[in-house]
Amino acid sequence: MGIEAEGISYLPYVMSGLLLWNYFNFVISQSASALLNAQNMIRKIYFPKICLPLSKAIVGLVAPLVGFLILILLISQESNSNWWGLLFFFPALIITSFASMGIGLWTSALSIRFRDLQQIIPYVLQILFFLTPIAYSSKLANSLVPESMEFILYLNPMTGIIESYRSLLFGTMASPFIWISYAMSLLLFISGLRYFQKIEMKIADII
Amino acid sequence: MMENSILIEGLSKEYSISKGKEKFWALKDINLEIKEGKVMGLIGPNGAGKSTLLKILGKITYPTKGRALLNGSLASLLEVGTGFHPELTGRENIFLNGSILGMSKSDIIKEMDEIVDFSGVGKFLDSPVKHYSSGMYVRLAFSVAAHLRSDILLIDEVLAVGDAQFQKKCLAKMSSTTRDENRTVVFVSHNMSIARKLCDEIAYIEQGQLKMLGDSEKVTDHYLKTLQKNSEEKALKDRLDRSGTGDVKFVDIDFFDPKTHRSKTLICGEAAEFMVKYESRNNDKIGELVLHLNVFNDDGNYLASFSNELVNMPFKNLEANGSLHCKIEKLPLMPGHYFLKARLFVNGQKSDIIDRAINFEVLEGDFFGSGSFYKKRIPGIFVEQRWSH
Repeated sequence: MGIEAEGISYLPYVMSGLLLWNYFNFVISQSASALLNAQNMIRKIYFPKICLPLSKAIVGLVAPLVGFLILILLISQESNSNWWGLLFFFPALIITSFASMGIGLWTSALSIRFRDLQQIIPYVLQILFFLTPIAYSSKLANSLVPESMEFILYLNPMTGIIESYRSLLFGTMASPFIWISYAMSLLLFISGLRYFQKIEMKIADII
Repeated sequence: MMENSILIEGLSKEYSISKGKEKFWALKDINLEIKEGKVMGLIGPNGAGKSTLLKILGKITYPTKGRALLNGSLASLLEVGTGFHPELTGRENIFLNGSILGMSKSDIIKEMDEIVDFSGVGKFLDSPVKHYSSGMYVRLAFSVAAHLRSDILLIDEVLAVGDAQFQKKCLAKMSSTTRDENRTVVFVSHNMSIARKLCDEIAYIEQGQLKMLGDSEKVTDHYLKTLQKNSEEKALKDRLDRSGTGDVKFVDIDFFDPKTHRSKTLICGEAAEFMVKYESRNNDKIGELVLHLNVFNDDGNYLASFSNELVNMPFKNLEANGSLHCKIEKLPLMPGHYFLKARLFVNGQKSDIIDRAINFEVLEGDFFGSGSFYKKRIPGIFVEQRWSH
């Protein structure tokens, strides 16, 4: 293949990031509407409502697992890659799930008060897609911002997750800031969980 | 030993309305004890807080103050068919709904035949429920809930659906499970005869407060008397418990015996006349007017309807103010107390609807001219009949 990024064929390079991103995207957009779609049940039946947004993280696993098989095929064609690095797809997926569940918990809980949130989320995700180094390398992104501001890019959890997976898979560079992305994932998840638990008792009254 | 199954202490629930500027107490300081194995009925007018109380007991919403302690496993049936998926078949929905309501898979498999049998869905079991008639849908949903093995069951007005035969079956099933399995049931009803039949005790709730608690006969009687008093105290014109556009409103409904012209008393088997006074809001002429006067007996059971639509007598281009008369040559109502639900439609739109517009009494009379006076506690209708052998 003619096009390359950081010396790696473009297709496996993009695929490695896109699989994680699509999962992230799916979980957030699905869980944002999870509570509103189940209004009738929430109003009439008692059950732990947190199941609704969190279950989306499990449902969404099918696509990346199928995609992973395709990634294996693509990697087998690529000489500049580490076979063992492929396996880091699973830890990367788990961290992605925490980040996306965190945001999903926030959005699902907020969307019962601010219903328009649901309409905004696809656009925000689309913008975030272009801000995340998926179709381009993080090297390119980092070269566009002053060094002192670089850490801001890593506040987006997907930036660090994708970059570190690529570095393990292809041996490309990884910024020292990737830990910020991990911390963000965890922070989003814990704060989302807290906020959801705080309003859980009021959901049936507000919705 | 009888134990408390449900204990409610100082329970209050506050809702904020109009964007938090105003507060509204849906329930205020409710204290209630329900013993194990008893059926507790909740009665009261619409918006009294009955459903809110059930929702709090069902943990769907939480009280602002006070607490409700429940002793045992809980199943609530606040709406029939929540959690049904239209694309799934009846059988799949039994599993889905059963597990949502808290049954384990093995329990469902064990009860499957009985559930299917009870619902009478039969050969449609394996077709998607979206193709079901609404009756079948409701029957299936109730059957699942009726076979739940819980210590406490909360039921909200679900028997209002389904045909009479199925209702009867449900009642039988409910009373047998409460007796056999020592199950506690809390039951909201607007139908006094069902409430009387089913409940050991009844709590009468109005405006979020517990007004009366006790023996089911006593409380239902008291409730019905209160309703009657409410509708007598105010002139029909000034009543606020009405709905509709209000273009044309009821001013007064009177009824009398045309022979004696004595108002408010009617005699069974004699002539009767209803007179309805109306007025139009802007003194406009009225295009087309349809009037329904539905007769209910004291228990809230619908008996008959007086309407110009029934006899195909359209009222068109009426004056803005006026009165309509309905003459009945031989009143077929049995002696007893009745009330009228008055409904007025103008040009096909609901204009004025009053649920319990007036109360009236029918006195004993000899309907069949047989010389015998027939009396029943729950009054119904006499039908002309001829017997032979």
